[in-house]
Amino acid sequence: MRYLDPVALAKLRNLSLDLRRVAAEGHLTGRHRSSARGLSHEFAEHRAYVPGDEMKALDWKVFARQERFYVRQYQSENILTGTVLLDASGSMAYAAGGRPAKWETACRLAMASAYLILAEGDAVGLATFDAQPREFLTPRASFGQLGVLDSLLERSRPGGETDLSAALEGAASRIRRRSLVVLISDLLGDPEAVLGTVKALQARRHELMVLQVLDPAERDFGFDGPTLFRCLEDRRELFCDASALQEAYRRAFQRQQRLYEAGCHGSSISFTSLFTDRPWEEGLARFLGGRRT
Amino acid sequence: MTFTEPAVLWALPLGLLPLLLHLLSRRRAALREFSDLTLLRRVQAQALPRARLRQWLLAAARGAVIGLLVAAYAGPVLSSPGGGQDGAALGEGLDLVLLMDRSASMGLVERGRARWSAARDAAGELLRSLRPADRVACADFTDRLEPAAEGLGWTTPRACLDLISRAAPLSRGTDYGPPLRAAYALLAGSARDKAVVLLSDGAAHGARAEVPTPEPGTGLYCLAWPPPPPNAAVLAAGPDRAATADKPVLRSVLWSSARQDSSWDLWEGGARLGGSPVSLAARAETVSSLPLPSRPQGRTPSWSGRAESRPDALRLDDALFYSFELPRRPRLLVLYGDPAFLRSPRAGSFLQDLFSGPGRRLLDWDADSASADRLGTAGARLADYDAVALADCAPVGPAAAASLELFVRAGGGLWLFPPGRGDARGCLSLGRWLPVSVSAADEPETARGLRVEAGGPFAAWQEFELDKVALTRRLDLSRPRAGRSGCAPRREPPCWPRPATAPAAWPSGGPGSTRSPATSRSSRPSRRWSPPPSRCCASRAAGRRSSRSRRESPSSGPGPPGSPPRRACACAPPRAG
Repeated sequence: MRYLDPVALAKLRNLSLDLRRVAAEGHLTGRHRSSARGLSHEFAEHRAYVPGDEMKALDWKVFARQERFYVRQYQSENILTGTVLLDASGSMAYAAGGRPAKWETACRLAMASAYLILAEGDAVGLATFDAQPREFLTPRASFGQLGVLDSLLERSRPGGETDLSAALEGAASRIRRRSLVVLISDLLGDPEAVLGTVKALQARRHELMVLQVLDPAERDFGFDGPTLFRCLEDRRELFCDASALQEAYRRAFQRQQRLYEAGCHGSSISFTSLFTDRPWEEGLARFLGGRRT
Repeated sequence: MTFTEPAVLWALPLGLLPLLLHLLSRRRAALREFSDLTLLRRVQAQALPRARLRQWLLAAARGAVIGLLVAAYAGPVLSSPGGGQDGAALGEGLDLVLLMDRSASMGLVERGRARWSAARDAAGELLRSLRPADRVACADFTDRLEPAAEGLGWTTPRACLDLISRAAPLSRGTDYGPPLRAAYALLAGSARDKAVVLLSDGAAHGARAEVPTPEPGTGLYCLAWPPPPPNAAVLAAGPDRAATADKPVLRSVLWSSARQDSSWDLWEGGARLGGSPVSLAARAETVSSLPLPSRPQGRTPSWSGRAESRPDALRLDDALFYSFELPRRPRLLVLYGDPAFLRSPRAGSFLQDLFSGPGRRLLDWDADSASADRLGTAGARLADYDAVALADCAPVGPAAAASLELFVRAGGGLWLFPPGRGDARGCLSLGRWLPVSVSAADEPETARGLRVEAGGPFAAWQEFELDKVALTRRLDLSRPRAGRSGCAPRREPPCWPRPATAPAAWPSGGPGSTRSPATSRSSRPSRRWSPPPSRCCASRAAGRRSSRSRRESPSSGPGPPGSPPRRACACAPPRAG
């Protein structure tokens, strides 16, 4: 596989997705607790006996203590459905300073996320989008899904414009059950619209993880002098004095990042920014470790 | 405001260069691909008005800097109310005339600093302290006033500073008369405060003109200097009178401001030929001689080098170059009154070509030129010459006339060339001891030219284009009455070498009188020009002269080979100008 080599696999073995609040509604038995009560090995709670309950569910130890009848209830384990939403717009093709393109890092993160989901015994699917949803891979709980994902990613090329809101809406419409949604994008657009869509996704009781992939040049804007910029998405050009706008751009970028962080944190959405000048597995490990604490 | 270099202002359009570069910068902007321009556009939209304003201000500032630099190089001069305007309209203020001494003595170095430098700094402080209502004029002088042609006029302090900063001491003497006279003339009639500042060391070497007294109400200010250290100078260096080609000897004349023991060396090329200690008297000339190396047989032997005294505080006068041949050629000193005469191609330049031209010369003499007012200075020492020519017969002062009389009575030759314009009044002052009297000029209506006969002894004159000479005036010479002084020789010498045939003649058949250009009243006018029969003092024989010969009058006839021929006294040169 191109985007998940043995070295990357070795690094991922120590990582795991810890989805504490996800109450999966899968139909298969997995490792995630379902919100429903069912037969399992894990005690959930006591309930007062009502006529019609099975006798084997009575907790006789409690009766011996309290001379009252209570029924034991257990957690029901189900399989989580994970969907990786991957931004394949033109901006993801950006690379500067000899660093790998954001698309490259995003694909590796997508494969890593898919692997981690599959390692939990869950199903994972993939949806790519630019201004509209592109491709959708139905979630499957088989490790063979990784090969399918890799082939799809290898065939895909970033291009076109981005309409994150529309893309997320389209992708969300295809995720029927409560799932883990891993959004991998550079989130370069209208922050308000993006946050609105993301929150709408969360309102549907999906667990969201937002992995923002950026190039350091997009953060530092280390350009000098009169420069004619050409957008990778719509090929429009913009002439400006980069030196004069450098400080203002940096401040605006930091403001945008704080907006994303505050918006996601306020909505209990896991959010992190990964830059292509650092190894992607470091960022992912740090992110997952931070989620655990 | 005016500018000293207005031509530099043509570079002012360079101030548009930053704007052009700004407009062209878009074309040469680097093309870069960027992921998304949404944020950048938003930032630019917010910052664009301020950024554009900043860019325009920056371009304007850069253009202004370039414009100011160009203007600065053009030398702006703020025209103060006092610069060059009528003082009567200025009200109260100071009229200041600054006179800078550029004579050789101002190059004296004291405590590591030249006097000229100290005077220049003092002048700078004075000029910077002037107020806008003050007027200033400045000039520098040595033994003459500069600028002499334009005269002294009001100017600006900045122009004075420029003049002073560009000047440097020259190897000339000092004469305070002309600059002070010009300063007082400029200040005459001014009702404001008047001052003349004389930036000089007060060295009185060669001052000839009378120093005028300042007018009432005019302050004369000078600099105070510490007593200068003793200074020695080499005044003259030339062949000793007894020197011959077999035994060449260099004679050096030294002078010192104080009694001191010094020495002088002889240099030829870069080699020191010898030296001699010398005890110098205070303010008196000391003569010292050193032998020169002999030259091999062949062409006329020549020597050139320098005589150098021990270096002292004033280095300008410590060395003097010499160049001569032995037997030496006779030396002629051409004295002129008007500097324009010397520059005139038909007057002074003609005479220079006659006597010492670079090509073929009429006479194998060494001729020097000097202003008549320098007679008696180191640059015009009559004792170094065999004959003196008064080129335009300018009025000669009493002191100069006395020097000439002594020179002539000692056997020196005197040639008179009347001026091309005006009369010969300058010669009148010499009439007391000349053997002839110079009358007024006679100017015929029609100019006549000279005709040089081919093959005659004056054929060499053809290259001087004598056929283009227009003789338009003549001077009548009359023999003085008996009893008048004059250097009457015992024997009448021929004035010119007797030609085999008649020399140049008047054009025949010409209209008007056929009088010769210079004849005495007693001679009959003839169609052929002939040397004037008037007597004259023969010039000194070149080379060997003993004291005995100085007392005797020269003999008649041609002298020994190599000696200068006897000379006539007066002839009319081509018309000047």
